Amino acid sequence: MSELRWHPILEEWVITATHRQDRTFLPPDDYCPLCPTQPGAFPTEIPSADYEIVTFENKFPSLQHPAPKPAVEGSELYKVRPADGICEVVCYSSRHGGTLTDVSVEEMGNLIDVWTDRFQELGAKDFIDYVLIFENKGKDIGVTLTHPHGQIYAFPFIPPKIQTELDSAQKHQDRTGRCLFCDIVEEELKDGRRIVVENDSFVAMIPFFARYPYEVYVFSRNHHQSMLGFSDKERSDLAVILKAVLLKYDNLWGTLQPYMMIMHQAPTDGRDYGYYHYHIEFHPPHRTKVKLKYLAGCESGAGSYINDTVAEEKAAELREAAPSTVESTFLTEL
Amino acid sequence: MAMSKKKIVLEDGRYLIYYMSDEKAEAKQAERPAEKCSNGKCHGGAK
Repeated sequence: MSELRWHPILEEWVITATHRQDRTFLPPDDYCPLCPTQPGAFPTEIPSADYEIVTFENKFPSLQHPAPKPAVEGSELYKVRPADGICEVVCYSSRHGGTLTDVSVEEMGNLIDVWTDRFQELGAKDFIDYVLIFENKGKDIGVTLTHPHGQIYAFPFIPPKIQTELDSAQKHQDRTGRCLFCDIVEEELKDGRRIVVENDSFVAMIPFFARYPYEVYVFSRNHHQSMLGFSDKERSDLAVILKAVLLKYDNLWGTLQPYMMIMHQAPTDGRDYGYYHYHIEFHPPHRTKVKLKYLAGCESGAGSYINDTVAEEKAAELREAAPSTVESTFLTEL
Repeated sequence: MAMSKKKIVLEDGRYLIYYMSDEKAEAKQAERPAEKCSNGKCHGGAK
């Protein structure tokens, strides 16, 4: 069963995708569907015996094109739409072991090129209003495949959290004449206590309003609606700062840090979103090495987050974690 | 973009795209055996 069901209380679409209930769940390494297919061996999703980066339509998509006709009848109150859209899996490397942290800065740069290409191609489709590039990493997040990969969801609507950001950004622009996100970056740089790492083109911080203890936002210094506007230098700087943030996460406690990494870009519905600003959000669920920050009653029930920590202290911890500077990120590859 | 891409269609109709950096693409091209003429001789020789 696959459709979009309208939530009349929250005024948002809920995606129903019952075929996902039986998707591949933590298979043994020998049967990893994201590894290249070796001659004579188990056939995976990827027919080739090797690859650099590959992207393909998800076998268990939440959205698909063309979408099947909804199996339920909607009503005036309970609207129903086909779950039209595209879901892709992006395999970062043919190497099964390891994570995005292990790719070289050069490989990260290649991945950024791939993300840019996918954003452009999917965003250009007339039935797509929003392209979400993201990664779920670690069993604590609910990952079902351990081979390093991310996903792309191309939606036929603007997802609710993005819509909230757009509304806030527009109101701020109308009130002040300035970009909300540019003002956040300026305020954070002025304060300095929550900056984690920065380079010529990007700033990574735990923001003043962080909801997770080690929540990191990566902002472009220049005002860009999406990565389509990046220069070669910005793409290169993004590769370095991403690698630096990922290394800091893993070096914080000497463990592989689970996280959700979500790229926030302007919608692709053809309208102008000049007041919006590209950024990446990392939501790691750990509040200590062994304790998780659960989204319980207050967060999930009322949408009001409780942060058990202080952003300034957590940012200081991440600053201390290697690499100490963006330049020393390259030393990790020697 | 410094990546070339090749799109294929899988058996079940889904698409898959291979991305390859220019360096790896050139290295792969260099590994390929030289093309032969229809008479079985390699290109490059004087006529």
